[in-house]
Amino acid sequence: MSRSSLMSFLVVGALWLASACGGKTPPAISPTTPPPRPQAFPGGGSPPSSRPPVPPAPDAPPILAAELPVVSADPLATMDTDEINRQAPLGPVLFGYDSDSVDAEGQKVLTDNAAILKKYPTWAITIEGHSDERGTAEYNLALGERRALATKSYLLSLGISADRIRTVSYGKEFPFDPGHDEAAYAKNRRGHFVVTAK
Amino acid sequence: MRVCFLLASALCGTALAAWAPPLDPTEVISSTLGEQQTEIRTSIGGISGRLPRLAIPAFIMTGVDAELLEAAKTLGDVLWKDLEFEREFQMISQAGAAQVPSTPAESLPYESWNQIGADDVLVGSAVRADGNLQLDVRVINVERKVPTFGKRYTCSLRGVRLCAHTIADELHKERFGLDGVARTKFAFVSDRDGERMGGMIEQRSIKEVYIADYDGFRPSRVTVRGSLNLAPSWSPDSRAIVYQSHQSGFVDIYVQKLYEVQVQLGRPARGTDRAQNFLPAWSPDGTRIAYASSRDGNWEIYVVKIDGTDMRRLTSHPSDDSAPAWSPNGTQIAFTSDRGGSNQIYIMSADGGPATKITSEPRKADRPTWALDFIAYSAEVPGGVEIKKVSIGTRDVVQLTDGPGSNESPTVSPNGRHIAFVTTRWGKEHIAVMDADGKNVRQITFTGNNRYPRWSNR
Repeated sequence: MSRSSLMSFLVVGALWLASACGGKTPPAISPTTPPPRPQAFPGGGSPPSSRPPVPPAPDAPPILAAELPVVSADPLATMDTDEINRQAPLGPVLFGYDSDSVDAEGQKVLTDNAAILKKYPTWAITIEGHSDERGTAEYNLALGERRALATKSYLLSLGISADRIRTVSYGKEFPFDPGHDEAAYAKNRRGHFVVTAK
Repeated sequence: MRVCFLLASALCGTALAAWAPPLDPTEVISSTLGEQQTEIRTSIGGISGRLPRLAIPAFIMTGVDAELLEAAKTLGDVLWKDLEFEREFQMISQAGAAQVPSTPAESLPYESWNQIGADDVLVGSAVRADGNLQLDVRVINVERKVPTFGKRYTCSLRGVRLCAHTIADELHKERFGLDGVARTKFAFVSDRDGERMGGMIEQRSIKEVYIADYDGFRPSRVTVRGSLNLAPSWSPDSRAIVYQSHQSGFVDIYVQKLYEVQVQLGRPARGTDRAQNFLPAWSPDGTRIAYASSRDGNWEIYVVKIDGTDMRRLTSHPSDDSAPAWSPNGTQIAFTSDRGGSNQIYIMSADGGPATKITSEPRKADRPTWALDFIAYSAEVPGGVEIKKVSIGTRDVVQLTDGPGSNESPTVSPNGRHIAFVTTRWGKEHIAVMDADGKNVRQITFTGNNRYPRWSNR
């Protein structure tokens, strides 16, 4: 059972338990009776046997019946991949015009991304290479591929396993900003991260 | 064969035609009518030294049902545009031709046609026959008062556009020895259906491959991959395409027959996420696909047989090589490479070996497409991309577009006389067609964004 489905199973169990306990029947509360004290044998004499009293049976260890819903300290750990991708914890690497080299800003982004990928070692990712609309469609397919591969290469140098990374070029087909100015172009020249499995 | 017109033609057509089932819209049957004279071009061209002026009066229909009248109008309109397209005739406007009453060929008012300047009159008459349209077409020379072209066609009523295209191609062939392109098609990529790609957080439109007639009519979607599908290329018989698709999460090339009930895809380049394949081009002899692949680290040109055997790498260079295009005889491949510092067009043998640079664009050249005596390509210029062509023999370069908008991805018609391309001049990305000298630009697509046009081979 995967971690997320186990979680949902437990959450459902907890909800069931909460409804079972929170109904009209008040929860049963055991009265706190004082522990039995040794009683003097009637007549003040010795007990009939010299054997020590049988110790009480050991208490049963507590059983974890259910996890109760809590707000996780680490939301990423519980999200599915769609939610993760909406959050986009792995920032994009932005490129200069007609460039496939990862600059200092991009290296910083990738250092942060590598730390996240190390924290979540089960995540698999696709790096998408994108370009702005300038230049031919065919050229931008190659440029997008070079950007994706350069991004991957830098992540490998930071110790992320190649098995976790796929790359794909979308060329200029899927601009993030449909504008036709430099502000839009700057956003559209990117190595874009998608978490594909966790 | 006796010629029959107007009311007589109903009886005559029934008597002459044996029973035949209704035709498929993709079928047109033609037979030559009698009384035909040829060798007219020499006399007219020789005398006047100008294009023959052709008028097409409204087709004469036997019967008054709406379907027949609609078919007649479509036939006349499409045929007029088809004949105008190759610019072998100087077409007299339909409004001009309407000044002269439509008559059967026997009673042509020659004086009236002469007065509006017609050298030739195309007379058409049609009648229903066995659920199809039986159409007699004659071209009458006004000066000599004789028919120079005469054919009887049997067409599906739903296939009148194809009927008109067939008449245009056969008239061009008989009269001028020209291989017209009225029956050719485009493959192209479009997001016109507005469907969104699944499994994506961003709103991304899928792009599928479509085909349409050379005039943009009768578009139909031929891929249902629900993904990004680009760069279609036709088989030599134009009954199959090869294209690149992102459907597996990585880019690979797919071969698909167009007219099969069951869609079966071949993947000759056997791509993986570590060996992705792009920009396929079907060889003129039909046996191989050339394409670009990063399987050995960076983009190189490869060829593989359709069945996936005999994969061969043709280039070996640390720079990217891409966008392969076969020469018409299949012995050479043009491609794009930045081995000289910027993307330029190179030519090499189809077996690989040394490459020759044939462009020297100040910025970049890309997407070569090969006609008999020139290669058209996309050239980056300040502010966008424009279409240019370079002569194979002289290496002279001519710029064919100069805005508005960006103009790229040229594809040449099989007769080498026209070039289709992608333009942003009408807002979105649309496919346009122009003559090979850059003149007579006309819009072919009108909905969605449309890219990667490829003219069929037949």
